Amino acid sequence: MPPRPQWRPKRPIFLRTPCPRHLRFTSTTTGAPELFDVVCVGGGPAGLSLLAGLRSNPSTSHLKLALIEAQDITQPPRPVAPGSYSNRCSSLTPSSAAYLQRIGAWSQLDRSRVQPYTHMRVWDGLSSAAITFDPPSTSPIAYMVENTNLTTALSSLITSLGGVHTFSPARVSHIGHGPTTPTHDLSSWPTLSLSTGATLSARLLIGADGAASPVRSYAGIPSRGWDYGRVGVVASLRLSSDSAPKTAFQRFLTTGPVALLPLPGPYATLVWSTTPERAARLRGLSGEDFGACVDAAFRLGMVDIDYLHTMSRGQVEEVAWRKKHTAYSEADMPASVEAVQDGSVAAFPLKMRHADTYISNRLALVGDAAHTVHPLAGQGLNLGQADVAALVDVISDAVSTGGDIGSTLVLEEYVARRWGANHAMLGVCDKLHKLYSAEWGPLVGLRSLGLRAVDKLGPVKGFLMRQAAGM
Amino acid sequence: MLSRALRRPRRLLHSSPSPRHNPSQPPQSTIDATEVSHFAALASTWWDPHGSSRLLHLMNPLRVRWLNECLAESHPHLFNTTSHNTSSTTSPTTPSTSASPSPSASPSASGSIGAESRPSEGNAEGNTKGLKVLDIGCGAGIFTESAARLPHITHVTGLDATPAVLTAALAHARLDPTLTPSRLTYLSGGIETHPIPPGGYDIVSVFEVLEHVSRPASFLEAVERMVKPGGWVVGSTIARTWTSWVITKVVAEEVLGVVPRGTHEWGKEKGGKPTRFWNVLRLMRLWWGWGACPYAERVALSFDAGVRSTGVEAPR
Ligand SMILES: Cc1cc2nc3c(=O)[nH]c(=O)nc-3n(C[C@H](O)[C@H](O)[C@H](O)COP(=O)(O)OP(=O)(O)OC[C@H]3O[C@@H](n4cnc5c(N)ncnc54)[C@H](O)[C@@H]3O)c2cc1C
Repeated sequence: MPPRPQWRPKRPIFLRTPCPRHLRFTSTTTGAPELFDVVCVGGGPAGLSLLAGLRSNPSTSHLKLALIEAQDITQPPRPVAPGSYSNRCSSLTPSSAAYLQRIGAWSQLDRSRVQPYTHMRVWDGLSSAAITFDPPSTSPIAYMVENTNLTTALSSLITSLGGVHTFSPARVSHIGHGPTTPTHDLSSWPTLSLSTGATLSARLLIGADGAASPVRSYAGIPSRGWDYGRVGVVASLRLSSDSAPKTAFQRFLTTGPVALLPLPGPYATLVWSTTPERAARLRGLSGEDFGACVDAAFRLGMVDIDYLHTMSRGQVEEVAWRKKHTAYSEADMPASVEAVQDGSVAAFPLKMRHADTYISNRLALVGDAAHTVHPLAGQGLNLGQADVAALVDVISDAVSTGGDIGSTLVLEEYVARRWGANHAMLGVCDKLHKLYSAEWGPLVGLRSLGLRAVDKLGPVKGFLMRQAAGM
Repeated sequence: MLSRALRRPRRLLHSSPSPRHNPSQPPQSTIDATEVSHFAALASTWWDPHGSSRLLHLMNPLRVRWLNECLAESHPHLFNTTSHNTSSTTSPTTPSTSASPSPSASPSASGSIGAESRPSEGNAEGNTKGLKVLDIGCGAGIFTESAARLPHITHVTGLDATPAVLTAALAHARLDPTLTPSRLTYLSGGIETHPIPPGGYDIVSVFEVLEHVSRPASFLEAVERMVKPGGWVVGSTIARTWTSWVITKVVAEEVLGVVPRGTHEWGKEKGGKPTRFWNVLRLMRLWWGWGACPYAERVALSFDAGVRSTGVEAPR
């Protein structure tokens, strides 16, 4: 049993920080917008991390910041039952962890719910060629963290640092231009009308509002890519035993990769990319049958797995029988699934998108608003953290040299640092997905050869691991 | 500890408590009429980040960093971490007292950026009065605006001989509500007729100006009179070397076309007597190869110089 999750009782967070009377929301009464240095739309991992980063940096801590989040994040998180895990988990790479440490968010995480892993095993569903990542040291490849654990940690950090004007729950209902008066011309300042009636003008507007980013639409920045015609099935699982050393397992099936990532104790989180039809079938199964399908996905041949998806029930017996007739090494496998957490099976559509640019005048995009990546390398959230680290750096440089943080002259450095790096990662994940969806014999042979070769080549493997770790 | 300037064998740039020129004689202008009309033509594109002033925009952070380095030596308390919390902005409700053409008591925008966290002024000792800057040859305000946003600077006066660029400067300052007249003022005219405020300026900046004035030596004498004892003259000019001639004149103007023709009058850089100024360089730096810019900008060369006035020991 994992230690009981400790949700510290909290004051309601995200209340607006007290500010001098003359600055308070005169906008709502006069109709004139309230001015902010940075307005961040979206309080997901990217947006919160950006605000916490700006607050904790001495050269940007005086900036006037606002957060707009559609969901109510002013309520303390609901306490979680022991052994119960959110199905939205992410693997944080060491470089994301280092950034969170630097801004002071790492210590705010509920560490009893964070699981580092030091080993990784990846293999081919058709040929079973495998690559095993065992680092020379015990330093983690990544840390499994529930997204809510991370956002709660960032929220408490922001609360303790103070100074972020939070509008939550509030939606952006309109984005337009600021007023022009005899003294000032705010026509280049994005001006937001909120569902609460407030109006805010931003020196710099941040779109951290996820894949469907309204801020990106306002800026008219095209985002290109494609849908994979696949969905990611997620679930929180309890396995028959705790694995030691903690290992991430991933197998490339022709329908997409299936990954089982370790959580504390015998718990694990599943991300299974598959076709929408198969996802629907999986979601309709009982917990036992679903668990049997997960076991099968790592152990049985493609033909068996295909067959299991034609059955509407009875997978438990079917898998037990077929396992006896399949050659695999149980020692290389994740422990078998013992239980599926109630209500944790869900599915998300998978797509690849990349915005043409991340900036325009007085506007910058971070996280999923800028790019959506196939989850097979567990990079989505990490790319967002790297964006945030770069943008905070660029803003801080501009502040200490008297720059206008909303000007494209300042922001172009952010694009220069992140666009190419993100594009490379998006490309690698996309190519991997395509390579492993192929069933064409020669290609399967080649990729297996490739995987075996990489497994034998220490330096290449080291390189791949460093890439995966975001180092 | 002796100030660095006092340890120099030659101290040429003094601030003089008594003006050396005879006030009864009208001061001779160092403004070059052809330069004025040339910069008037540039005014509209000055703030275009991809226009002909892109080089200046990209060099500007280096300039400000340079100014900060100079100030860190003379006013170390300004750069204690605590002083970072000082807001770089001011409340727009601050009464306007300046010669700005658009003075207004309170802008319509109700909030005040950064002001909410503005701690009581002078939370870092010595910060109470703040520093005053005169930016000579301010153009459309690239350095001027950024200096005015710095937390440790209370007021910047931008001075330029070309009225058209000042119109561009004022129009651009309107885009940032923190740049109120109480922080930033633009004045048209030359240095010779500019009144010296009581005590002088803490910082006088002359960035990329020297190569454009007709008599650099008398220009520099006028600059000296503006600065407070213990204050700084910071500036930069194109290096007077053949490399810099090739790069700025031939490469920038002719080959790459990044700067319109005639922007750099080579005779002025070579001739005149700027030697006097450069002999007292506190530190001379050669910048090249800054990262974020494409090919054309990578080759530009410029000297940045800071001269500490030595009339009096620096306030400690
Ligand atoms: C199945 C799956 C598995 C994944 N696994 C991993 C993994 O292992 N590792 C990893 O690194 N990443 C993973 N990811 C990706 C990761 O979850 C995302 O990259 C990450 O959540 C993006 O964070 P964000 O802050 O950019 O956007 P989001 O988390 O989408 O946050 C956007 C926020 O903006 C708010 N918002 C949107 N519009 C408005 C509006 N108009 N007004 C106000 N608020 C608004 C939303 O309410 C939301 O809170 C996975 C994704 C999927 C689908």
